[in-house]
Amino acid sequence: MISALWTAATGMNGQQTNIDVISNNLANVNTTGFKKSRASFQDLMYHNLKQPGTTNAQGAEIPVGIEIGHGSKISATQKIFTEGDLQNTEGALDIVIKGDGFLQVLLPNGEIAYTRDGSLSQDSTGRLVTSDGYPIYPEEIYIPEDASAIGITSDGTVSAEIDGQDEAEQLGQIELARFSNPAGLNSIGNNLYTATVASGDPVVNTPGSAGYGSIEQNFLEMSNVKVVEEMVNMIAAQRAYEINSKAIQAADDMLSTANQLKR
Amino acid sequence: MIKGLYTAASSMLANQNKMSLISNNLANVNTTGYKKDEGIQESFPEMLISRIEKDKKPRAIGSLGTGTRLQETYTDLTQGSLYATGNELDLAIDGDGYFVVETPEGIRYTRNGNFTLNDNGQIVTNQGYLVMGEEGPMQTIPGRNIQIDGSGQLYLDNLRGDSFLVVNFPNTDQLTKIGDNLYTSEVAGEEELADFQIRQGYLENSNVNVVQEMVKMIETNRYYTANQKVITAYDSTLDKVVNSVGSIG
Repeated sequence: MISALWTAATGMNGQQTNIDVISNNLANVNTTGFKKSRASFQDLMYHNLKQPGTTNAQGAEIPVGIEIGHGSKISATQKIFTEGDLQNTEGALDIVIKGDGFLQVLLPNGEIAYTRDGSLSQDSTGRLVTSDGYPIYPEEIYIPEDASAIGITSDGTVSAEIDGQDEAEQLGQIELARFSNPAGLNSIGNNLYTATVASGDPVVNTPGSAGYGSIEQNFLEMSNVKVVEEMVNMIAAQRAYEINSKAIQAADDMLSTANQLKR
Repeated sequence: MIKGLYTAASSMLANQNKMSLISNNLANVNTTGYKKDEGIQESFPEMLISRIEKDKKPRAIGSLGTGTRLQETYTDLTQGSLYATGNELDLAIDGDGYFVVETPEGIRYTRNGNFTLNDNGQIVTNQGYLVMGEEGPMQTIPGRNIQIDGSGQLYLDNLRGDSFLVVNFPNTDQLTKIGDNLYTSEVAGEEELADFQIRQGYLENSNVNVVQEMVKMIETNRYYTANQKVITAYDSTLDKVVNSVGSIG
């Protein structure tokens, strides 16, 4: 058969996944702390009909060979960890990480997950939790009932003014985790990531220390999805899908032409 | 049988292979750093036909082509356009040259600068192959800001790191594509310094020109059909010869 048929089909397959990735980015355009993904493509293997540099029957060196490729594939969907825009929310428990690092949260199964989503709140016991109710790790921070004016400083210290006390009471310390390869983190949804072999082990330090981002209160980090960019990517992906379908049609045309040889 | 039958068939075969090349270019229209392939067709050596007369030496009366074949595929290495990604480990080579990567099978070359870090802080390709610097694998230090200047020199905050190894070849035609955006060079000759600029935060688009490929596709398709018509025409001639001229009784 014509290998062009299968080659073009791999192109369509790849673009379909590309659209899936773009759709997910667009669906999360308003998700706090969301990091966009990008699909990268690679060519597939080549069929070498003639190797360059070998000698032909007359003993001359063949300068250029014949290699026919077999299409493309998605090699990776890579998370892009550029910082999203900041949004002033006036919420005392809304924090952003300005710079590198992840908040650590403890999942109910005992695993530690990592997030850039700093929309925190309190549960019934006053514990500082994410919007899904997962407590901050490693130190559980409890906010007393009679606390007013909660302050979170750039180094992650959480304190509150308590009625009847002159000085603000220190409640706890938020720490940040960093990875040598954040692109290797595993996204598990709900704005959470888990560490993998590829990401390396987390290195934990206080916010604001060398290489770590600092904490800013009253702000949230918006997603880093740029709608215009995604729309352009979507158009490019759709057209690439279409031209590959045209290539399949052309290959099919050729097959039908070949079929008409014998009447 | 009739020579023309095989001549037309050889052209159909060559066009079929060309169609495969075009399909591959179109499938890789979004592949980072992909370079398009062009097929170059060649005619078979022409043969002399001669008139044979009784008691005379055969006299050449002209030559006759006997068909065509796909003689070589040529990779068009023109620069693809650059697009900004903002990712600090996306590198594009503006100009000539290839990044050197170490795979389990040996040294390979690539124009795809879509790199990441592995858990040891080394710069790797999407498949995890080490990207080579002048003094070995490119190493970064976790927690330090990565800056790469135009010559491929790596800075970690203000600390000078290794410099990316970028090489070129006197005869780039002999680079062989092996897929995964990689090339091998078994016969491409000695490496020589490349004339390039590294752009951090950019990737190189594939250099496939969709309009050109679509036109080539239409063209190839039509040539294929035309040759099919030639075969059918010869076939009806043969039909006459076999069934009408040669009818017995």
